Amino acid sequence: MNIHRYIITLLSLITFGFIIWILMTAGEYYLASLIDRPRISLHRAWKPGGFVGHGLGILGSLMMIIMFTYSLRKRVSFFQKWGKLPTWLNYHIFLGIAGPILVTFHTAFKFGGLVSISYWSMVAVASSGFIGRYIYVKIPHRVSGKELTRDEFKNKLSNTIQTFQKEFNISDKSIAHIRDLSGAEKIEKRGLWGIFTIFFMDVSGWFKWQKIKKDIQSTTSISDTDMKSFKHSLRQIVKMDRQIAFWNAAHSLFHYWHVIHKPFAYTMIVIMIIHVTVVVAMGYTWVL
Amino acid sequence: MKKLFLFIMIMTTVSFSQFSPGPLSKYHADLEGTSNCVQCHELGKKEISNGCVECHTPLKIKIDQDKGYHRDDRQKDCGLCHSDHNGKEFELVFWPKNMAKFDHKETGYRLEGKHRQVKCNQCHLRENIKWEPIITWANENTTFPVLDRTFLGLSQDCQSCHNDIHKGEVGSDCQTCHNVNNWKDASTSFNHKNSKFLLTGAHKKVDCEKCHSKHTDWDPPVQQLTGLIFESCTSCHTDYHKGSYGNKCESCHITEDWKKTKSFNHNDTKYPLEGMHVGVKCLECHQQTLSGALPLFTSCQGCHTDYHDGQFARRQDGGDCAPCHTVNGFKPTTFTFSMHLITRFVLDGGHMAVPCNQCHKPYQSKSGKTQIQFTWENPECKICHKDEHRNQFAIHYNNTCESCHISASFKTIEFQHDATQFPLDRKHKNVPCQDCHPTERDGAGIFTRYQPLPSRCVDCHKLTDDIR
Repeated sequence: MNIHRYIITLLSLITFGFIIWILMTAGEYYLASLIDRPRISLHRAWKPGGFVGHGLGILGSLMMIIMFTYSLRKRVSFFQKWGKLPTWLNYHIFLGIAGPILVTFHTAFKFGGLVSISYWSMVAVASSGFIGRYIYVKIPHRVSGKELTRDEFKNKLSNTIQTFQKEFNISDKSIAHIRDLSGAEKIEKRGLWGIFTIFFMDVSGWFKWQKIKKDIQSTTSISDTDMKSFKHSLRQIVKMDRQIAFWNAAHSLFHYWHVIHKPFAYTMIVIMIIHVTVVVAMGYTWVL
Repeated sequence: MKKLFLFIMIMTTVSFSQFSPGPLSKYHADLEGTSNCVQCHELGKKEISNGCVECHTPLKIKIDQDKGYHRDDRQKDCGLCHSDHNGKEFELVFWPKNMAKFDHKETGYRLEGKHRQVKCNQCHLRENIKWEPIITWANENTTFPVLDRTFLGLSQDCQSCHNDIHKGEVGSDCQTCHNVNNWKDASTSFNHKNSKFLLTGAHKKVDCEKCHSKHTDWDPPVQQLTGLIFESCTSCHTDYHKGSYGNKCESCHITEDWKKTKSFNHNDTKYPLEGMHVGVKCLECHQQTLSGALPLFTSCQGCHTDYHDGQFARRQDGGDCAPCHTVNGFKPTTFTFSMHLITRFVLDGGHMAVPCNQCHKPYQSKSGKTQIQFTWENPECKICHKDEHRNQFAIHYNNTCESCHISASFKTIEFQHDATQFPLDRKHKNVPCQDCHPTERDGAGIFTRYQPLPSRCVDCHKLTDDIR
């Protein structure tokens, strides 16, 4: 595991702890009705313009702004030599989750006015980020972040199958049977809608495992100690098979996803700037 | 990308009125809208600061005067307590412990006594508000009934909430007499020392109403507390003496007890007490009630009964006792022998040796009393002396003894026989009296015959032969 994973894990833990602290400290305030909140002593610090509330807004907004460096990394050649894109994506995702949470606490769950457009845009961006991430992982990438071609991936699948067959002494017939049961055909047939099929399969762990196991064990024997490795390899093959089946749809979806994800991101950032400008103009400069 | 910016611009324009962090309270509804932000907020000043009091001018006046609940809030952000942008129904005035438990001393006016039991809206009433700034402000801001909601406008004067049943008679400082614990019991708070009439002695125990009677024509009838006349005691007290002793009651009386008099110095009066008068009880001279006219001390008879029953009244001094008596006692009299010389009856001769009571004997006066007689209509000798001559001189001398006698001695005769019908001449002059005036005896004894006597010669002389 590389250093960035540690950092992201640490940051996530810190953020999680911070959120727990917020909930424990100001849970009463957030749970109170909007009309009662100004009567609570916590209001002064935790209202959107309060010391803590405002700080959360600034921190969350900074995270959202920093998050945009991922776009720079992707698009500006100067940055492309800096780190691996998946690492940037992981930071991007972390910031895209932590930032909206902090901003949500900054709003004190009071959504109104112009800035609410920014907020809901942020929610849309964050939500779409989850979908984008899901689609993204369905598209095979190299470690550097560069996409594989379909042929490259097919070769990789062939190699994986061959290794699997050798390791567990699996017949071609069994492999064909496994691929029949992977649902890849169904996914491919549904085109763009296949996203829901593949999502359902991923979520439910849908796989006719017992049937495959019975079929394979009729021809070969797998010790209990190898069963775990067998299952893992089998899942990899099924997953890759589904990815190939979803290949075209994934690319199309990912393209459409960008069309949604980016405008929300721009809307969010523009209105956020207006919001910040107005707020600073009114004199809310936090501790400054 | 162009479409994106167009979308953002439209959204921004449409939402421009949405900069507000939330709807304003209904009380500030007229300030809603982006163009109105700066009516309260000053750019770059964060909180409203002076924004509130620029509109809420009555509050500003109070703060400037260091009065009222907000008197210390000059530097305070109003929004800390009166947060807005929390929705139309959000009440800007918040009572953390509910309104009834509000610590009223925070306003600078501590609620004490009965005031603690009074509900807020019993004082904070539209009709009790007399403060012009809030009335003016309410007239300018008519969206809500300001005067029915505000807590401004009352003064700390009692009249702010209470009717002045004294109708201004005693000024406006009610707490001089009343207290907040028991409004009706003014006696515990009121210190009569602060009045023009200091209560002393028994006055302290007198019910107020005894002096301060009620204005019966007022509704409600209220005691008259000022304008009472107290220059003299008779303003409240009936003059027992009916004006006889003037109006300076304090000369004799003390306020501790009317019946006890102070150590009265009678010598300060027009009639200083001397002699026996000193020991006499007041009421022996003054009437029992001490009412009515004062004793007429111009004469002793003002107090004393004329023992002599007016015997001396015809004197020039009207029968003044002083010539004979002093205040040191009725007896002894100061009338002396020498003084008798200036009476109508001058003592001389044998009279000088006569004890008084030989002449001045008890008699029954005109009023029927038995007393010593000092005066007579006509001080004749016969009043004291018996007519030894058996009324023989009634015809010729009208019984006037002095025709013959002098007071030096009864027996010393200054009789001029020549003035009689029988003048003595020649040898008659040498004849002893008793030869012609022989003694006789009657039932009362021996007396001398003076008349009738025979006046013919033969009545005494015998006819001798010679004469014949």
